[in-house]
Amino acid sequence: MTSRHPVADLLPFYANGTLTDAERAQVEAELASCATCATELRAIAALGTTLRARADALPPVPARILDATLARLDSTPGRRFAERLSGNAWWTIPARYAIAAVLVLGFGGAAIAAYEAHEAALTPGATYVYRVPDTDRPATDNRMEEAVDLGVRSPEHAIMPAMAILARNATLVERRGLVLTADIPTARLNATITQLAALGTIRSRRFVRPATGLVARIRLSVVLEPMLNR
Amino acid sequence: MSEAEDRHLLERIARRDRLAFEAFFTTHGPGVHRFVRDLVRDEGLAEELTSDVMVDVWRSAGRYGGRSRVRTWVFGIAHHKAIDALRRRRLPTVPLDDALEIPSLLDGPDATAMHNADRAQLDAALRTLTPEHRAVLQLTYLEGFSQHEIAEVVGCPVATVKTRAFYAKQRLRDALAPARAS
Repeated sequence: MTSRHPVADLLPFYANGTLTDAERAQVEAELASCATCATELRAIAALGTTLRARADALPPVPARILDATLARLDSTPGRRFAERLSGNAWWTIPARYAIAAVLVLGFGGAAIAAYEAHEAALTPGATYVYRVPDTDRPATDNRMEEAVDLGVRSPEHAIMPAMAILARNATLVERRGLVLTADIPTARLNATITQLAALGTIRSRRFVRPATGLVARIRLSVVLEPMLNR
Repeated sequence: MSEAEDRHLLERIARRDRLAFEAFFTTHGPGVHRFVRDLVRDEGLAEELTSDVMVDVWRSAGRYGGRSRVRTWVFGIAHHKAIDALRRRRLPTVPLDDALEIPSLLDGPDATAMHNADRAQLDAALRTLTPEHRAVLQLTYLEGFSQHEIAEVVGCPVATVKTRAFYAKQRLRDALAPARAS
């Protein structure tokens, strides 16, 4: 026998809270007088719980999907990211121009004078490292934040290669003082850090936020400050 | 993420803002991946489809008309691609039940058994459903779409969505019944 309860097909949407006010009132009126529908609603709630538990237990989205998708974007119509950041064109893009300005400002004027004074005091043949302080930026959802101390022998020689590495692997976001901030897809993190480390010395690495997101990213904050000769 | 935030991200994506794209992927990628994975039941294909959907977002963000929620728009793309992939693979399909009459509820659901069904039994039961039923189940129970939004995502009348939602639940319950009995 088949008979149709008036609100049977609305119950799943009552349970997920998407009915209109009128539909919700209709369902609630039925629920108040129909034990079968009330039981059915409990079953629907249980089904939702079961399906959500199953979904939660499934493997997360592989981070490689984001990486692969980002790589595909470069070959899709529109401005090509790789082209924007390669060759001689990166400073023509507004965001890159801003960063270039940071570099100029950061190492210009008094900063350059201070650096030149510092440089003049260096001992030929000695190795110097420059400290990259931790960022104080708050971590955001689905991201982990990592502050890296990047040691380099010379800001002039190190920052452009570092910029090139970031340009290939990351999206430069903003600066704070002498801090250059770049977002690095997690899948590229190790390679990027390795490349950056090859420029000098990574003195510390700290996860501000655990990598719990499916496509968690690293915010790499870089600033170059002369440190003690060592 | 709110609808306003979604739309703002889309506007930035239309301007080729990769950071916005990554944020969008972080927000919607897991749901899209889960959705297409359950539809096509092939992990490799699901990864391809998730990427395809997001590349479509990148390409067509500027053409998003704003007539529906961003999530609805994205899941519509995902549904279309998943169903298209299933058709290309010529996977067996089951006739839809749109014309069937809604049956009685008098059989009495067993909420506890449904809740306690273990993962393997649930997976097996889900495999017995049509892609159309799995889609409606997921969009209703996991993604929290309204019946009207699901109609837009899957491209069918609202009445059909209601029918599918009802039968998907019934058939899942029926498929779990042998496990309950044993």
